[in-house]
Parts: sequence; structure tokens; C-alpha cells
Amino acid sequence: MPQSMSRHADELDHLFKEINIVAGITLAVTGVVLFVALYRSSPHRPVKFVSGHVGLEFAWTLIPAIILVALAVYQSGTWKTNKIDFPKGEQPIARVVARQFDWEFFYAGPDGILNTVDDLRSVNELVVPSSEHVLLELHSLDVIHSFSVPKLRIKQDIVPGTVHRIWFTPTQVGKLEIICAELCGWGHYNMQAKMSIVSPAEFDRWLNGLANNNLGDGNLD
Amino acid sequence: MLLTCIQPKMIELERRNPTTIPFHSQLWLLSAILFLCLGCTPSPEFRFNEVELQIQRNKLLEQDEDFPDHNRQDIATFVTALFGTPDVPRFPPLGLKGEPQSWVSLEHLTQSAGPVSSDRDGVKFGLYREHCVQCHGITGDGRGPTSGFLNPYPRDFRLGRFKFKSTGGRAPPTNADLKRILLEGIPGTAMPSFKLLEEEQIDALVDYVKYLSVRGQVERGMINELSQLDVGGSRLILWPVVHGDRTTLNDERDDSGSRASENGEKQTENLDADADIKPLDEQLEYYMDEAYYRYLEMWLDAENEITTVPSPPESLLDDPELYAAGKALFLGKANCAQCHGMTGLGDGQTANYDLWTTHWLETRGVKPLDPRTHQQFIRAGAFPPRSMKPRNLRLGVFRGGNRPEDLYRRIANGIDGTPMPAVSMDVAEVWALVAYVMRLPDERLTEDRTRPMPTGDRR
Repeated sequence: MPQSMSRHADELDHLFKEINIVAGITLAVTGVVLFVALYRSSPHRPVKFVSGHVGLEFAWTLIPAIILVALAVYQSGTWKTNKIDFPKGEQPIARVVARQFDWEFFYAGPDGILNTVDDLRSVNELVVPSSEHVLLELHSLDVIHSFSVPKLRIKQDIVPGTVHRIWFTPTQVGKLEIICAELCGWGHYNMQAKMSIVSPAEFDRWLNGLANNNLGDGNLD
Repeated sequence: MLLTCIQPKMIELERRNPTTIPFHSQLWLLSAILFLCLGCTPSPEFRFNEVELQIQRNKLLEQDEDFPDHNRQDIATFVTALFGTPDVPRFPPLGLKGEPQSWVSLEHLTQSAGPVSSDRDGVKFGLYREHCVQCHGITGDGRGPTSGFLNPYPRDFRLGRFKFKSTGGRAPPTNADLKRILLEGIPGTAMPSFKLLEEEQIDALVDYVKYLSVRGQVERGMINELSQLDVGGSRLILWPVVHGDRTTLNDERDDSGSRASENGEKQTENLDADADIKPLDEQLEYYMDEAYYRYLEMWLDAENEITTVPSPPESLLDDPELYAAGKALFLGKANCAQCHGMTGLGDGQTANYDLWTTHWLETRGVKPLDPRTHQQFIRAGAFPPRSMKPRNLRLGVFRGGNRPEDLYRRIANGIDGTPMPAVSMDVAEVWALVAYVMRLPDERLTEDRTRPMPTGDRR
């Protein structure tokens, strides 16, 4: 597993491990049962054709159902915090626009509001502060892309015409990479972007640099 | 049960076809076919600029002349001798002209050219074929496999003209301009950003784009030159050297009578008319001057052609007076509304074509709206013409960049190769236009006509 850099990633890794254990036990048990059932033959006992064994059918329907429902209930807390309970009253830090074949990131400009004319544009480079909540707004301009950051355990398909929102809480600063996880055309390989999680002070400095680059600082060449 | 049903039929089939090819032979056959299809792909070659040739042919036909086929061969030989092949690029040294600096680095070219591979140190080669060729084509003619599906069409480098650059007029872009496009992509088109490549790789690709451009320009220049019937009073032809019997041109002059029988009457006339054919080295020097150094000087001079952007006025984006002045210019003096529409939606005049289309579309006898007259050019490799759509300025997406300095340059310099002209206005007026255009996406399209909700007690 790649290094985990968000709180949500830790939770998911935890779930992943537990589900793996449950699935592993299930695989072992069903394997043994199947093996015994197939190789239990004996010359003294003729093969019997059974049609509709109520007990058996109940068993192999109910046991998996109970396991699955139990897992669903067990993970519902994680699902709720990450997919349903968005931090209230917080604005996305950036708008992510996926297109064939690059990532564009827009930050609020001097007016502090996203989706206005003075938005700052950065291509293939996303920088976010290591604040409590980082919200992103995902858009696609052409086909279905998928915003995937392995180190954050985030993978969100982006359907054109729909706004998807994601959020996470970084646990450390560092460099990450964003990849497109949905085959989107010949240049799919090129749809990678750099991402870094930096301290809020450094983020402000970076944003200032971007503003100077985008809007001109009065000292143009 | 299932098997027993099938088996008798299979046996029957085998009996009916006693000459069935055994399985291992089939395998051999299959691998042979696969090898023939995949294994022996010849290394790609630069495609000859047939469109330019067709343009010149049409011009010559009007004068009852023809473009000799051996000239075409000569041009290909000349250009290959100068620039090499897609696998082994080269470029003529500048030493001939006493220029100290090199316009591209051979190291960069070899890194960009050739098939995709990497060496033991992880240095990647064949960058152009890895990242660019799908759209821009091996020749840089914008005819890659995906090109037909794209709107706008991928850039054809061979005209040596680029839209989004810091230089004015027809001047080629600077290295920094090309690099910026590779790094940032062109928003609103299919050109993506290649920011993840290493800087060295971007530099290598920039050089390769310049190389393909100059190569294309030289090829076009040669086609043009060899279509001129008379150049500077003395006849310049390459053919006696390559297609004659390897005699020198001086011998050729004396020998012109005997060649007449081989080459027909017309050439006899020409040769007789121009008694002094220049010797080969002079010819080559002439062509190097006319078709190589002429273009190269422009590329080398690009840095000096950069349009400086004066400092923008204070509060560019929130000065109502500047905005109003910009709007007045947009609708009036600057004449932007003619193409971009009164509201900036890009719905004005749309019957224009870009340079990469007009350069063949303006041939005599070719009508923009009559596809039958395009056939000869389409067959030669031109794209079906598509009229230019003036930019919708309300999307807030500007292909040449969203920075005020980008917009300043687009307005002050125009966009090369498109109907967008350079305006002749003073600096303050251009900045006013920039201020207006940058705010356009925020402006309401129509007046607010809804009546205010009646206030007071409603029963």
C-alpha cells in the first residue's frame, strides 16, 4: 500500500484489512467445504441427486447475507463521514477541471470567491494547505475522468455535466500525485498532475506567486 | 450430454474436409502473418508537402506550364540532405553564414526524434513520437491519426506560423513561447499540458518543433523557388545535376542541343534563352539563402521581436471608467463586435478561414463553399475547410492565456494566421479593452427586465 497521507486513508486502510480478513476466512471455509463435498465419494454410497434442499439453500443465502450486511453496517460510519457529512459552511479550496488530457485547478482570486473572473489558474499542479478540511469541486469538460490520488485513497469518477465534491483531512505535508483512473482517450497516460500538501503559510505564499503569474504584478517583461 | 451432441458433428466435419491445415501449421501461418504486419513496419518518413505542390501546379497550369516530376524528387533529396529523416535528424550548420550560435541543439533533436525508447540511465528518446505524433503527425503537418476528429485541427508547423506568441506580426515564436504552450497547454483546444515531463524533455521538444517548422518552410520555399520560371534573370534549375549524365553544368551549357531531344522542345527553348546556367555550388548557395537562411534569420531574430507589455493601469479589473471605455472601444473604434458579436458571444462574422486553410483555399478556381473544387487539395492531404469561429469571450477561456499580458498581446499584436488583426491604438486604449474583455464573462447579457416584487401586504 502506498504511504497514507489523510485521516480518511487510515480509516480506509483499516477497513480494507478487516474486509480482507473476512474475505480470506470465507474463501478458506468455502474452499474446504467444496473440497470435502466433491471428494467424499465412496464405493458404498451411491451418488444421490438432490433437488431443492431447503436447509442448505437457507444456509448459503443467509450466511453471506449476514456477513455482507454486517460489513455494510460496520463501514457505514466511514462512508457517512467521507461521503455524506461534508464540513458545513466551508468553500472548496479549488475547482478541479479535468479535460482531455490535463488537469486544471482554479483558485479564488483576489476577491476570495471561487468561480469568478479573477480565478487563478494552475495547470497540472495542485497545492493544498494542511488545514482541517480540504474541499475540492470536480468538473469534467469532455468525457468521464476519474480523480485519483493513491496516497489519499481518493478515487472519484467525474461525469461531465455533474459537479462532484470531495473532501479530506491531510495528516502530513508532502508531495503526491494525481492520476486519471478512467481510460479517457489516447492521452490518458499524460493525465497526471503534481499535488502537494503544504503548511498554510506556504500555501499563501504559493497562491501569491500564482496570482502574480496569473494577473501580473506590474513588472511585466 | 452436451459433448455427445457436438462430437459426431465435429467428426463429420473433419471427414468432409480431409485437407484441413494441421494446428501447428496454422500457428506458423498466424505468426508469419503477424510478423509481416507488425514486425516489418518500415521506419516512418517525412511526407512531402503535396498541398503546396498542388498550389504551385495550379499556378503553373494557368501559364500553360507544368511542374516537372524530377523537380519534386530534387526537392525531396535537397530537404532530406539538409534535415535528415525522422529517425536521424540533422540540420545544416550555421557556420556557412558565420552565425555563432546554433538555432537548435542536435542533442535535443536526437532525443525527440526516432522511435520511443530509453537508455540505461533512463534518458528517454523518441519524445515526439511518444507525445506529439498522434495529432501533429510525423512530419509536423498536423495530420496525425487523431487530427481529423479534432476541432480546431492540430497545428501544421510547416508554415512556420504560430498563433500564441509574444512576438508581433509574422515573427516566429520565441523558445519561451513554445515552452509555455507545452507546459500550460492551450485551453479550449485539444492541446494538453505536458507539465509532467522533465524540463530537459520540454526543451528537446521545443527544439524539435522549431526543426520541423524550419524543415517545412524550407520544403515550401523550394517548391516555390522551383516553380518560378525565371529567377533574377538567370535560370536556376537543379535537374541537370541530378538527372543529367553527371556532367558539370558548364558542359551542360555546350551540350544543351543534345539534351533537347531527350527533354522535349520546351526545355530547349528555356536553356537557349538562359545561356548562363549557374554552376551547382552557386545554385545551392542561392537555395540555401532563399529557402533556409531567410527563414532561419526570422527564427534567430524572434527574441528581438517580442512585444513589450507596458504596466497595466492600477485596478485593472475594478475600474468602472476603464470598463466603460473598453466597452465603447469594443463596440466602436476597435471594431471587435464585427466578429465577436455585440455581446461578445462570438456570433459575428463567421465566414473567415485561418491561414492554414486560406493558403490553399485562395487558389484560383477554388470556392470555399463548393467541396468539389477542394477535391484536388483534400486528396493531396489538406483538411476539409472549416470556417473560423470568432472566440466566445464570455466563457472566460482564452487560448493564449488568461493573464492580462496575454490578452494585451492578443489585442495589440492580433493573432497571426487568423482574421484577428493587430489594432492600432494607444496603450491606454488596449488596456481598457483588456479590462472589458476580462470582465465580459461576468457581464449580464440582457438588461434586467423583471419587475421588482410588489412589496407590502398581499392578501
